[in-house]
Amino acid sequence: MPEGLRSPTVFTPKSISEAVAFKFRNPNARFWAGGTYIMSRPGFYPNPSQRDIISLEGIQDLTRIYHADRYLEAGAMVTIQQLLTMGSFMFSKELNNAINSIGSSVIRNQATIGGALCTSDMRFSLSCILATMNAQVEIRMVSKSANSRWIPVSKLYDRKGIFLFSESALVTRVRIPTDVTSQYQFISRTLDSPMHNPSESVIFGLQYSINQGSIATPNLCIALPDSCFYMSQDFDNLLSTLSFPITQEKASRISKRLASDLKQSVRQNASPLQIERAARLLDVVLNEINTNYLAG
Amino acid sequence: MRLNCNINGSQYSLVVNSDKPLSVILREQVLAFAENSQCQGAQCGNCLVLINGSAALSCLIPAFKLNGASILTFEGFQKTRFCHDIERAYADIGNQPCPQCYPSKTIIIESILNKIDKENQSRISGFRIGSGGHPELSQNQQNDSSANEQAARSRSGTGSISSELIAQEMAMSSCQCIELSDLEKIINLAYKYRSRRRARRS
Repeated sequence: MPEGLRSPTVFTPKSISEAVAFKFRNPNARFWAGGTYIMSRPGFYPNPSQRDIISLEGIQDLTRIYHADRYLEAGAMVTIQQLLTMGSFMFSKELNNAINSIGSSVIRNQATIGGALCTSDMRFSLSCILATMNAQVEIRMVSKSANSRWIPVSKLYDRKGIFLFSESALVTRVRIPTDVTSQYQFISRTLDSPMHNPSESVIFGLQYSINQGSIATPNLCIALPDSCFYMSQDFDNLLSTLSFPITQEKASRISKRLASDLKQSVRQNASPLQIERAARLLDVVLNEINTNYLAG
Repeated sequence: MRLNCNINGSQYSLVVNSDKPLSVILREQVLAFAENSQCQGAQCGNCLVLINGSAALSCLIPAFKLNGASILTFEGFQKTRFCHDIERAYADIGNQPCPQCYPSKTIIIESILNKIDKENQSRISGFRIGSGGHPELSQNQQNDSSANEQAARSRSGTGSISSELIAQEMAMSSCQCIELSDLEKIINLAYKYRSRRRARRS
């Protein structure tokens, strides 16, 4: 053991309230789910200022999957591989493909839903996918009363992609709607690996339906892993004004508008390449929808 | 913390930092571990080990998760007859991974074979998941269903392992030294050898 290196204390609570109580008493401790993100950060070990650990592995409530008529409810410690397995029965093919593209199966076996959603400053595909689908998360506040509430995934982050509840709450459950898969279409694209190349990667998600030639209730989400998490009601409204078929010029105008919106939202470290890629992705997707519409 | 675990068939009791990655423990405290990964969590895939039979990146597993675990590194795995099945398949196909990724690819192949085994076992015990899904599944059932589904997918169509599954599993190792079609043949052949030996023994 290197000299001066402290071994962090590991708390192993058996229930959610116990975990929250640990965190309340030890504000410097951090919740530990799968650990794939924390351990892949540069300088993770050896690190003299290592924080204590609250391991969530032993909490049974966080590993349950519950399937109701209209949604799938998964505990935060359910692995992405388990979500994929359950999803293969009830999610659309596109959604399954999107989840399937998250890392390799070795990583998916270890990474958890909660961990993927709660990384402090980096956004991965799962956040974007779930936000696009209007999934809800239950968060348990770290306070004496330990009250909990359900909020949309999109409300977990600010525009710059920073997780807003990193020290103040524990994500316990995620509720993914399953009744919308027949009505809505879902498109997801990930360019480059968000983990290995965050400064060039772009994650794109769009859920929509076509009603009488126009896009109805679109839900667009774009994440630049280390600099932006973009969801805008204004932009969704703009998309819903489109009536198909549209011209190439119109699609380009919309994607340019997205680029200018993104420029205002991103952190300073965002590269122009990412913004350009995001705009081009929207352009391509709009043209795809247009082609499909024209083909009937 | 004191860590008690089984590494390559030997019982170890080590005093380690609770957050120390398994790759560092193996390199520093368990002698004769010739693991060639120095990535420290960058997921290069070279530090793959089998933990309780499943492939895992040792740089992403902290010490506190390892109490009581059975860890098999490539060095330990090489001495088992399971590895000989895979090596025999390499020889029969006439292709094998390059020396750099040989250990990681072999471990991934073993992990795929384990998944197929699990699927077969659950099929024998009559375990099946209904297409409607259960209202609530326990952790064990979820794990079983994962293996079930993975392996079922792996045997889609012609009864052989799908190249889609292999590509997914092999995504961990970035080296493209061996064709996917060859890997598919190697896995099928290794599984055949393994099944034959099991049949002989039983």
